[in-house]
Amino acid sequence: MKVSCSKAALVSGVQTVYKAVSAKPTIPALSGVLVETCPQGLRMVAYDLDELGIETFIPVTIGAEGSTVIPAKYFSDISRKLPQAEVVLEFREETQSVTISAGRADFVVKTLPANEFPALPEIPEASSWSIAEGELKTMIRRTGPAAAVDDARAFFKGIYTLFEKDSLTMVATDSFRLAYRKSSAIFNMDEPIDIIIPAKALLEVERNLNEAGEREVSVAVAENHAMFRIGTTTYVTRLLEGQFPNYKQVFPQNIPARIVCDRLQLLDCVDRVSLMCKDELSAIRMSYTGDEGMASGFLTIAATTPEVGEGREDIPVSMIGHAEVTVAMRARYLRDVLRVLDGEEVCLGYTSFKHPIEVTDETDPSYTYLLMPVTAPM
Amino acid sequence: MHIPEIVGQDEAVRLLDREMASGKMSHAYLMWGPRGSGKMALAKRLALASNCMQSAARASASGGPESGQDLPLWFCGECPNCEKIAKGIHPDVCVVAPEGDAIKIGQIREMKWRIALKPNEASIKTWIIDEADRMTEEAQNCLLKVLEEPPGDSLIILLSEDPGMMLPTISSRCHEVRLNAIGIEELTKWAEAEFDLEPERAKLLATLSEGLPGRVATLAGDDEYFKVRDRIISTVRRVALCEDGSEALAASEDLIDQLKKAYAQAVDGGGSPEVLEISSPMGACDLMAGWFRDLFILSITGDESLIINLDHIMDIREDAARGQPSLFSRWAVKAMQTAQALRSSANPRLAMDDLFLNLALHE
Repeated sequence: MKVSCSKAALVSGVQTVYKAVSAKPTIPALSGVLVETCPQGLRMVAYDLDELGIETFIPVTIGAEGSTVIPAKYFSDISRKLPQAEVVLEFREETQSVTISAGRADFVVKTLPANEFPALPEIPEASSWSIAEGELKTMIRRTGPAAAVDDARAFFKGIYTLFEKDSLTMVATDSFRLAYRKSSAIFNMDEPIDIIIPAKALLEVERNLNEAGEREVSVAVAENHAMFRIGTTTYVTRLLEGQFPNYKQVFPQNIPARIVCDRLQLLDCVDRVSLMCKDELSAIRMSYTGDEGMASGFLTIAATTPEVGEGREDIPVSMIGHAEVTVAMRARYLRDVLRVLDGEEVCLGYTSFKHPIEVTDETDPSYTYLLMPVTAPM
Repeated sequence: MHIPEIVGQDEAVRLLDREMASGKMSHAYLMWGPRGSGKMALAKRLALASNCMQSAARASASGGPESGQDLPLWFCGECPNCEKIAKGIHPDVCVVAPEGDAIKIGQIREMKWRIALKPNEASIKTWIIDEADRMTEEAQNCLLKVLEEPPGDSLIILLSEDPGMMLPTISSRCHEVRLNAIGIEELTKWAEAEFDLEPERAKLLATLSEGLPGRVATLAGDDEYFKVRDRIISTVRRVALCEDGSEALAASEDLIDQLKKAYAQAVDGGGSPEVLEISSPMGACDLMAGWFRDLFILSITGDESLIINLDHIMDIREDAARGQPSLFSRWAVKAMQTAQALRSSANPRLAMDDLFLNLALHE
């Protein structure tokens, strides 16, 4: 195999697939990136057999056809540090090694056998749908952070995804907070399909989407896998087993009071006050002083750690409705949602100190984030 | 392609086959039995049989469990699933084994995450936990939930030599399958055919391995084991009845040294578990007990077919003529007691000295 391409194309190809390289490969070849000449250029694949398989194509000039598997770490490091010049990749069968050269730099890297590299699962694309890139990015970006990173219950590490005739719904929760977004999309299917997709896989797809982009993402779901294709890049993931908890019942009904405030101001305030928190999971307290009804007042946010001290700040807010607001919550969970919203203002729906707080943004009415308060004495 | 063969575990194989055919498979098995009894082979066979694409097709074509004249736990060996499982590269058939001394909680956490994903290709995801009794207590507790209710279609198989070392809550969640040592005759026949051995050699290996096919397979190509064994036997023969206390002590010191070297060498050079065992003081004492048992049996029955150390038959005849059965039986008991003491951390040198003085001074 011998191909040549620009450094930029090579780097972008390797970085696109790199996240899918297996950290603990069960087959040695999985610690590498498969490169293979084909009519579309150079096909690159990385696959961890579990959550993520990524395939992409980069434009190359083919000198000789062939395929090999290049150890991912070296491939990635070398390609990034190469001098700005045309890159030549040449695989030598006799020595089972690949030469990577650019300008006056030359690397010879031992390769792994390409025939041991497992094929990506084939997902019939006959029934694939398409979603606008920006919309999918928003869906994942706003729901993803609520998924658990480390939980015994695997379905909390996934994002529940529901395809219906005219909508796409994504829900993620780690049981302390829940993010829900329903967007209109035309799928034209007879029966709704609901699946749980590992959050890690979706967040990797999201990373390569562009909010202002105009591309369409093609999505296909098979019995055990889901596939996302953007341009020439394809992501494949295994779905999670299990039943997603009935999330609908946790949405509070008849919220008596809503506090509206400037989103960035609140985020800055939480950031500052939580300096006095002991750790990521410590709570901050929140209370409202001022008039009720359609009125304005102040939201006081405070954090106390007995052996350290206390932080406190007021921000101006307006209150719609009636309630005596005093509630405690984990700062990180509030920050997470404030960071992924775009609107200037954010609305906190308050029912009582033990009901979930509902965080919404007027500019994105299809989105709801629920945050469980901390009820333990503080 | 090498398909793991199961020798002599007919009962276990038939039991599993019946359960599979009648759709009553458990989702968790504990396969236990001595080292070399074929636990891993049986676990892989179960994975093969339950994932073979042909097997599923046959079962549905013939319409029910009663129709099969096939071998129990049949698999085709040719479909992609069979091929990958046999090669050990099937993405949905995974093995967890101790990393270092133990199976740690991190390994079980990772397994729990991966088993929660839907299968890649298999119809039944299969997770084999080898040497399951070496799970740390945290790891075992972490496993409990998933063992009780594995997600989706999955099968968890624990393998253990000593299931008593595990929490009772683990074994109570598993369907137990016991693997036993098998008859020497059957094993001899198998060894003859499998490793192309002379009948006598095959019988020796079958006897030495105590009826365990896995150990026969190791011994068949293990010269180092026989070197260590010969060294122990020649030392014992020299010491027994020599009536010289100081020579016995010198021989004990020498043997302990040699065993240590052999053991270290086996550890460094990736020696077989058989070499590791026989070059431990306990293993050496077990071998001596066997030797004295041979002397005893021959001197009271004269029946050479009952002898374990067949390759040394001339030596055994010679030694058996030199003493009384009661003496040999006392020695055998003493050797076993010494092995027992060593297992409870007795000082090897002192224990061996004591044993050898007994031999030399015919007590």
